[in-house]
This record gives sequence, C-alpha cells and structure tokens, in this order.
Amino acid sequence: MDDRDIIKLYLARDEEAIAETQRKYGRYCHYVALRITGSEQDAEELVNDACLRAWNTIPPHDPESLKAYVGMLTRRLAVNRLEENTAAKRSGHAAAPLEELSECLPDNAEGNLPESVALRDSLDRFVKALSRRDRRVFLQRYWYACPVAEVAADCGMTVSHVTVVLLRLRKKLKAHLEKEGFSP
Amino acid sequence: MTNQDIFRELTNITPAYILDAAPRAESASRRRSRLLRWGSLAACICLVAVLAIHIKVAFTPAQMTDVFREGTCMELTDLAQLPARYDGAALVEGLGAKSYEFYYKEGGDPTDPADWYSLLVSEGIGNGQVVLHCMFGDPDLEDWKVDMVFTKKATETRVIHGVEVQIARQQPSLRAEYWYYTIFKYDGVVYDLRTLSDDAGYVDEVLERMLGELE
Repeated sequence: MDDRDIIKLYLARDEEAIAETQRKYGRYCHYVALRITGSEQDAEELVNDACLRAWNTIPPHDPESLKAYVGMLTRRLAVNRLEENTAAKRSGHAAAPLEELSECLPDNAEGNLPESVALRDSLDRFVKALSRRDRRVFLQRYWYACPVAEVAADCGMTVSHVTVVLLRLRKKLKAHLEKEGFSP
Repeated sequence: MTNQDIFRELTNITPAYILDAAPRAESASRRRSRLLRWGSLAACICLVAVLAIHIKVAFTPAQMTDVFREGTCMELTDLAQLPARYDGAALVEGLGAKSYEFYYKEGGDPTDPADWYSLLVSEGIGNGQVVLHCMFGDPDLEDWKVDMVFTKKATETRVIHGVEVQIARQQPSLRAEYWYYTIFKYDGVVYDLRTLSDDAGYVDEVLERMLGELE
C-alpha cells in the first residue's frame, strides 16, 4: 500500500492505518528510536507511541511523506525519552553526539533562550547550505545518532575522515548560529 | 540555548533531507517479536555453523589504513584553483566532479606540494556515488592496500592502462548496495577510490574515466 492510501485511511479514521504504518515503517521508526535511546524496550514502546501520535494528528495534518512524518514523531518521542533517561542517569546511544553538539554553542550563549522556531529555521538553513555529502554525514550523526564508524561505512569514508568532517561541520554550525544572532 | 536544544530542534528540519540521509543500515535493522526471534533461532540452529563461516567471509570489514590528516581545508570548484600544478590532475579531471576539498599542512604553504596532504572528491557522478581521496607526499601503497581479513576472494588486482589497481567490495548491510574499494598509485600519489552503485560495472566505468586519461 502506498503512502497516499495509508494517509487516506487515517483521514477516513480507519484503524487499519496504524497497522499499515507499523508494517511499512515500523522498522525505520524502531531504528530511529533505538539509535537515540539505546534501549530495545524503549524503542518498541516509542514506535507504538509514534503510530498512535500519527493517528491523533492526521487529520488535521496531511503529510507529504508518511515515512518522514512518523520518523519525526518517533525522533521527537525518543529525544523526550532520552532526556528522561538522562535525568534518571540512564544515557542512550545519543549521549556522544549530544555531547559533541555542545561545541556548536555560540560563545556566551548561556542564559540566552531563543524561540525554538527561530532555532529550527536556522538549523534548516544550515543543513540546506551543506553539500549532499556533508549533509548526509551531519544528519546521520546528529539526526539519526549513528556511531562514527557506521557513518563512515555508509558514506564510503574512513573513520578519521568522518571525524574531521564532523569537526569542521560543528565549527561551521557554531559560526552559522553566531552569525544568525544566537549569541548576545 | 543548550546542545539539547540543537539536538531537539534538528528533529523538524526539511523531511527530504532526513530521508536522503537515512543510513543504509536502517534497511537491514531487524525488528522481530520475541516469538519470531526464538522461533527463528530454533529453526535455524542447525545451520548456524555453516552460515557463521559464510557471514564472516561476506561481512568482515575491509581493513584499510585510516590516516586522514586534518590540516587546513580549501574548497574548490575547479582543479584550476589548486594553488600549484599537479601532474596527476588529469586523472581527477576525468571524473568531471564539480567540487573538491583540498587539505594542506596547517600553517603551511599551499603553493608548495611538499605541504599538501590530500585532495578529495565526494559526489554523485553518472549513475553512482564516488568518494576519491588522493594522498600526496609519495605514501607507501602497501600501507593503503585493502585487506579483507578472512577471504582473498573479495579482492582482486587488475592492471588497467598500465596501472596496478587493487579492487575489493563490501556491503555495509545485508540489503545495501556494494561499496567497491580501489587503491592504486600513480606518479607519487595514492588514489583511494570508492564507488557505490546498483550497477556492478560502475567501478570499471569510473576507473576507465580516470585511467583512460593516461593514454
């Protein structure tokens, strides 16, 4: 069944939509959740939660890509779970990428709480401006929370080259955020 | 703003980029119910010994020298922008790439080839993806050769237009396309060329584009 047909099921409030979404994108969502939380049990729960969230939000939402939509819902839930787990001293796979992102914080940004929408738009502009290769490396590390070795294998690069590219990208992101006014 | 804010807000970037960056390993990830997992285990246990050998052979990662020197990076859109003449440039030009990363010694002189580290191409060319590292400074080719640990079947050496090229292939995950790894040396520069394509002949096409320039 293609995405459009599944979305039609959601719009018609047919519960088969949830089963179809699980069948088609359950594995993808599980991958996203597992990479971030590092827990098989959390990942299974989050996939179910994401499908339920899709049921509750379509309509009014009518996503162009169902895969991207449920992937985003899963990631959002997984990030929440990671924060809960971190507060409870149980860190997930994403602990390392998260720590690395602290290098991107603009200088003297502590206490500066910009609107999340502005930050989101700024990140989108940053990602858009990257070359396809750099975008893949950046997103595999910081969106999918993949280990560096896995990014290297996927992109046909050596581990140390990926490390160097990520270092450059973090510096670039820091400069981008400062340029866009995220530092006082 | 914290690193968590950045990590969180990345969630909602343009969906097309998220899908494009989806790791190929994702397609090979497995989600099975406990029942299915145990059932499969019971059914397959007698095949494990045979399969283990096969899987080890097929999926042992290629061992390669992994020395990427950081230095200073200069982004180029044309090889003519290289700060000094480089005799092997014709090989790289054969690819018809539109962007290059040129690395040289931090604080060094980019016009002096003695300070050059590497030149990189990483982009979609023709019907596949190419990642090419050109390592300067006359490195020892033996240090860079691909070593498939458990099998020699996955590697071969061919002579193409008079240049000895080692070729190996590796699948990042079960359902993914093969990466072809090739290593060769020409005129004091080691070329580490990797290609990804559904078409098994793509690596030959790319090598022909590069080494055909020698004639």
